[in-house]
Amino acid sequence: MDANNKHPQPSLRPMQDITPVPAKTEHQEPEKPTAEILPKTEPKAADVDIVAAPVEAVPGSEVRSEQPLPDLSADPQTTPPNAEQKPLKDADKELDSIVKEVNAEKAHSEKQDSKSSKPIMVAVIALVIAMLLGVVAFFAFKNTEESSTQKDTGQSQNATQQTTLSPEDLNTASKDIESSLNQFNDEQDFGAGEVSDQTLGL
Amino acid sequence: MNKKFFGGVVFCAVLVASLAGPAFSGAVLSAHGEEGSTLADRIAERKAKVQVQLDTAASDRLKAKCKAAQTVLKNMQQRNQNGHNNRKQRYEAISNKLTDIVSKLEKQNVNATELKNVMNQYKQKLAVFQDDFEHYNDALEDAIAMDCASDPAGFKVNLETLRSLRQKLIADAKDIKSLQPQLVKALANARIALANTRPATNGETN
Repeated sequence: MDANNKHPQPSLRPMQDITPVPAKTEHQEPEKPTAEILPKTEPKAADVDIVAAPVEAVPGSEVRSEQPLPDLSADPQTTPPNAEQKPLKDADKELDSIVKEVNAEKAHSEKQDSKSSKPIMVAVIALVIAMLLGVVAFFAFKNTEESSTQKDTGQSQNATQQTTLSPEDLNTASKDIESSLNQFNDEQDFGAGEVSDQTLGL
Repeated sequence: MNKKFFGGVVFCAVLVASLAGPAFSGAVLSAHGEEGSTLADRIAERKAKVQVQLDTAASDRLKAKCKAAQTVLKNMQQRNQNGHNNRKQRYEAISNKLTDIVSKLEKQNVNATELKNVMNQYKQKLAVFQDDFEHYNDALEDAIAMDCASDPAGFKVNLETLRSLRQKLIADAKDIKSLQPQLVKALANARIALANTRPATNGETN
């Protein structure tokens, strides 16, 4: 029998181990001798511990079992329920404390994880922003390069178109310069009258 | 981490400041064209050049009326700004056009010596005009900005400088304009020379 099994169930016990004990009632017919019922077998060592009082089966005599058979459910090795609950409570308490400790450790580690993940998050965000800026700068540079290339191309085309002068160009230039120089009125622009004492009210 | 982040921010700020600083200070220094010169320095310099004697009555009159005169000067500055800038830009455009023509004529193996000489004279006269124009603008700015009531003699010196610079600018402009006949003649000669070289060039290419 397993010593740890404190509450063995009788139904699980093998039937041949159980010796039927007739209930003693007045209306009961006289019992037949046990010897007639039970086969004549040597008591096994395993049965000894179960059957408390060995029945001496003498042929030709009635066997009456006056002594009550001990309750099979009551294991002599098990402790009574009250005594059993105390260690249980202690175990529960211990278990609770262990669970609490584990939870506390878990929470602490999570906290540490969250703390250690902050700088990583900042670094990741900085990296993402840097990458975005890099992409924007790249495209901006690309666009400006393209536009400047187009501009240069246009300018060079214009330059090649106008690298050579015609006599008409010189004629036009002469007229433009003449009109530009003649359009200014020097006396009006830089005349002494505007800064005279009279004008300034001095 | 925080220290590193803060260090990065400080580094960026220093970098931006070091890049933007020279440009900003350059803009400030170029406001009056003369690096390191202050309003007081410029007035002292003008006082040394232009001798002005003010009696007490003249000094008191200037002290009383110079603020109003500064307002008149300010209005005049705003009124003439477009005209003056337009003149300056047109003079520069003529200079650029002459440079371009001479360069192209030389590339086309056309004799442009005469035009080149006139162009160089024009550029010299233009440089004189631009220099005087800068000085005139400085003197006008100073006359408007200075504390005339506390320094009436300085204000008077600034006014005299303005008047003389305006006369000088008229002379510079006339000097530039005096080159007009030479320019027209040089361009006409260059046109003839170009017309003479073109058939030969066309014959070579064809």
